[in-house]
Amino acid sequence: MTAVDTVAVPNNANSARDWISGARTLGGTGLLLAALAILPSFLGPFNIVLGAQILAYSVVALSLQLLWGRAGQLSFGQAAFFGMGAYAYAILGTRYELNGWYILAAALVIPAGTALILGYFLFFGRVRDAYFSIVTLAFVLVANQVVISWRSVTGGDTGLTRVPGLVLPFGGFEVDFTSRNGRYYLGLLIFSIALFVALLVRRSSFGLVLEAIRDDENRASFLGYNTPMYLTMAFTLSAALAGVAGGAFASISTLAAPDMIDQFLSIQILTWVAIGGRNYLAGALVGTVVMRVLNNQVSDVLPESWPLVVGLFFVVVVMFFPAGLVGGLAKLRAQLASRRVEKARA
Amino acid sequence: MSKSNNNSIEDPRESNKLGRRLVLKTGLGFGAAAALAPVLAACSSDAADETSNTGSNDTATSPDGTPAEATGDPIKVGYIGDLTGVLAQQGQIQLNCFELAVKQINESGGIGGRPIEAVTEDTASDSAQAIEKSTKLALEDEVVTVIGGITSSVREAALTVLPNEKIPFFYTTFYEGAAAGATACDEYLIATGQIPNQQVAPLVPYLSENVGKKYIVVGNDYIWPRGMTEVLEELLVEEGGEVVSSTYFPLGTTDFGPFFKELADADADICWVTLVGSDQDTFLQQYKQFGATTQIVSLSMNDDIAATNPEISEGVITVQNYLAGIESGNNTKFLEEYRAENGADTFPIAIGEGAYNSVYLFKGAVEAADGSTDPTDWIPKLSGVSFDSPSGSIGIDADTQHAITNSYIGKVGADGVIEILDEEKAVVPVVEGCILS
Amino acid sequence: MDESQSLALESVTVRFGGLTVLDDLSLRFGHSPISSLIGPNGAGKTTVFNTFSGIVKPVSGSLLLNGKDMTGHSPIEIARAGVVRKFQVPTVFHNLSVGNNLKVAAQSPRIETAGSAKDIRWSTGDVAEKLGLSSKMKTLAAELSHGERQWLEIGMAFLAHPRFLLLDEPAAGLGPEESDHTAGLIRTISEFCKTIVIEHDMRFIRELGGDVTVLHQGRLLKQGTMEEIEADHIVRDVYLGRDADA
Repeated sequence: MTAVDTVAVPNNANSARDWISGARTLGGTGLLLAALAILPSFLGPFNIVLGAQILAYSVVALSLQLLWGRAGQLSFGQAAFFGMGAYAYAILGTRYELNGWYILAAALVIPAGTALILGYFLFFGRVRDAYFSIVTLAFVLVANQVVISWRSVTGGDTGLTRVPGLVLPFGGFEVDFTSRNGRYYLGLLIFSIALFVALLVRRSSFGLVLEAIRDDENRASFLGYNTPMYLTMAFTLSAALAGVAGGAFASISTLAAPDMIDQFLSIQILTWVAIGGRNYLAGALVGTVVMRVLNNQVSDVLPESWPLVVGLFFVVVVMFFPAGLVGGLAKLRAQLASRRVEKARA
Repeated sequence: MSKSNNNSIEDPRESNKLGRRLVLKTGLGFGAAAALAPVLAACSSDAADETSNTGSNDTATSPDGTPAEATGDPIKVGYIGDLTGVLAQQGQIQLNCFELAVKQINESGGIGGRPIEAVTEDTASDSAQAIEKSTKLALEDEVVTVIGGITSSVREAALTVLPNEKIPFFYTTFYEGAAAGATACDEYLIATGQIPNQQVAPLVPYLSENVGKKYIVVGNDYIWPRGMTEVLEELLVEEGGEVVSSTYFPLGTTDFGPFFKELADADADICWVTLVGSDQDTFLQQYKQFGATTQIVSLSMNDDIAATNPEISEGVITVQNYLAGIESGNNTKFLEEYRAENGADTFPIAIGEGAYNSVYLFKGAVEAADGSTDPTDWIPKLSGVSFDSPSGSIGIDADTQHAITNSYIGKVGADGVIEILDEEKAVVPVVEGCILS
Repeated sequence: MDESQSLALESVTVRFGGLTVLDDLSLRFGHSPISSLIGPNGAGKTTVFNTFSGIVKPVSGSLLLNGKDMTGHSPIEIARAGVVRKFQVPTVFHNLSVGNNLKVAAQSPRIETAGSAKDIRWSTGDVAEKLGLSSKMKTLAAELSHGERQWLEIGMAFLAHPRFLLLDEPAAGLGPEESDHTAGLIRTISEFCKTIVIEHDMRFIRELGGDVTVLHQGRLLKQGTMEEIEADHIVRDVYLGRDADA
């Protein structure tokens, strides 16, 4: 008897089903982006700016969803990478006359490079779960202290204000994202890219292996997967997305400040993802929109007690929908579907 | 209470120039104040000002003599401040004062017959939220001016939004002025709080004469405390005093032990405190436990803190543009009306009085511009407006758009009441190189 | 014997604290498509598997895969070299569907060895059919019965391109019918890769066929066919006899 290697190939029935569900996702995403593209014509000037900010915030929520929802590692450091992107953008944008692409690239590469190094030491050093969360929390505290102390570069406590908007050259012409609508479309541009990346990860075997690692890392490594490498890659990709979100946010808000790189923002991002449902891509988006709009509306009506109301809302949602709003909805749908099947059988 | 940054490396020549200028410009005032000190301490301080003034209680009346209801189109005025978070207590007092002014004005005919409609927003001491709320006030509420702000970071955030939309911002908190690279000179910035030459400059000569010239500094580790120490050191060059050591602690420090070792060795006359919020309370608590006797001078002491914690605040000297102990008819009335709204044991504080004054200065300027709410019309009128405020007559300096205010030096008594020791009238703000008029 | 198809321990000693779990043990698998590893509790069976898969590092001796020294290699490296493990407690990815569990296993990386035998292309669907899980491809692994989970894990291990498949108590907790299905599965799999099974249930081992290795107190007691083992009176004394009484 000789040993035989086995190689798996996906079978045809499955790939056809995959293709259909893929086309549906793509169609839905296209519709969403198209709706977002025409949205500014229905919004007042303030809501356009608010929308631009929410789009940038959604990207950082997506980045956490990738790491926490998919790979199971809860990071308190998301604001650190967001802030690094924001400061990279603001420092280069205010000090140097650089091609917009370079500035945007710096907002991506600096956080991603940092995450690669940090992630390498953490994940290969077997730091996981609660310990990982604690280290990332410490990391954001350090990043915040660096930003506050390094006044000559970062503007210290006040941060960098009057940050110029982004201008991206495309071949012979330039796209100017500095106007109010331009800032919105910058938000939409990076949102579209991030959504595309997130969908790609979800459908890829990379994403599947991350989910497997989330479920049982040992099992995955006994299948031969280099799990620390996968986690490091997920962390790096997540930081890259968070960094671009930060860069775009600095451009949209014309500001980089220490409270964009602190633990409180990290916790906020976490609540957005938790409210929406950390296991769902749509959860990150729904959570961000719901929490930002709620935050904005309630703080208008109750400027002295809004955190109480927003906090209460968070507690109630988490109590009744532990899997988040989208998770709760998915469960409800599944229950209805199974009831229908039972009825059909009866 | 102000925070700011310094994103340029300081040029020592610049600093020195500023220092000299500070002393030169206020030198005359000190002489007068020092000579008058005993008299001023003895009698009440509401000497009439000869400039024309619109007056806080300058009530518009209808033909039959009763106060007119404001009935015209409302004028929208925004308030933005720290209503939640670590500075919520101060922010709340600031808002109370702002609302009091709006109420008084609306009950007495509004601004040229138009009522003020106040729109209140919270910054939560967060730059991003300050940006968001400033944008909302400007674009959605379409306010014609915004009043408020405590931290310098929130001020800077507001100033990145509001000038672009041509909306003037009244900043009502004492701060570091131009000392730390902060925005102190902007055609859409009007400051009704004090800057160092109004706060520190009058205080130091008083301390030299009455307490001593050897300082030990303890502050929070950010730019406002550091900036204030710089200003102090420059003033001490002229005074012949010195700062023997400076220690800075991060915000949220719970153990000031290392400083007390310094203090014990230093043999200083004055302990110069630039700690803010709960850090100041913690420090004062430990100072008392340590049994230190060096005179404390704190720039962030106020009547509210003193009344809340009299046992640890007792003996602290401060300097403010407003103290509840000011003896004048205006202040008595102000206190009365403030307490009627907010409770018998409450105290307005300097940043609140600044907000109160801002609303009246705005009113005066708009009325002087024949009711125009276009800032290009009313901002030039600001320097011609004089307001008989709770802290005395104040106006706006045309060059800097900062308030010309009185400075009150006070000391917390055993009962938690700040007793006024000395005052200097109409100190002109100095912002190097700022000529807006 | 063909060195290129063997998994072996040579003079391996494993200690946990003061306790010697494997005592100068030499073992070799690969001559039979199916091998069973038996022995009383504490004999060191699972420790042998743990040493094979790199979880436990011996204090002395070596681990050989196809004659190549793999001592001290990480579990990931050993898995990639083709030694795949099914755990005693079924460990599948609970929040993944059956299909995705199989997909993760099928896509797992391995070292391509030159001159390896012909590739048999297995789809996850084919394997699911063999497992009897075709209709549950979209079901979450968490919702499967205990037996189904055992099969899923066997299927996953099989899809992960094993040269040696280590199955720790694949029939534990199964009813007779399920147990027979499992034995059938293992026999099918053993046509494609060498399979080593730890089991207590002698009926199950007889069902599997193949040769049997008996461990006792960390040492090799006997290796041979089922008939030879059953005929051995020492084995009967330390293990089978007691088992038969029970």
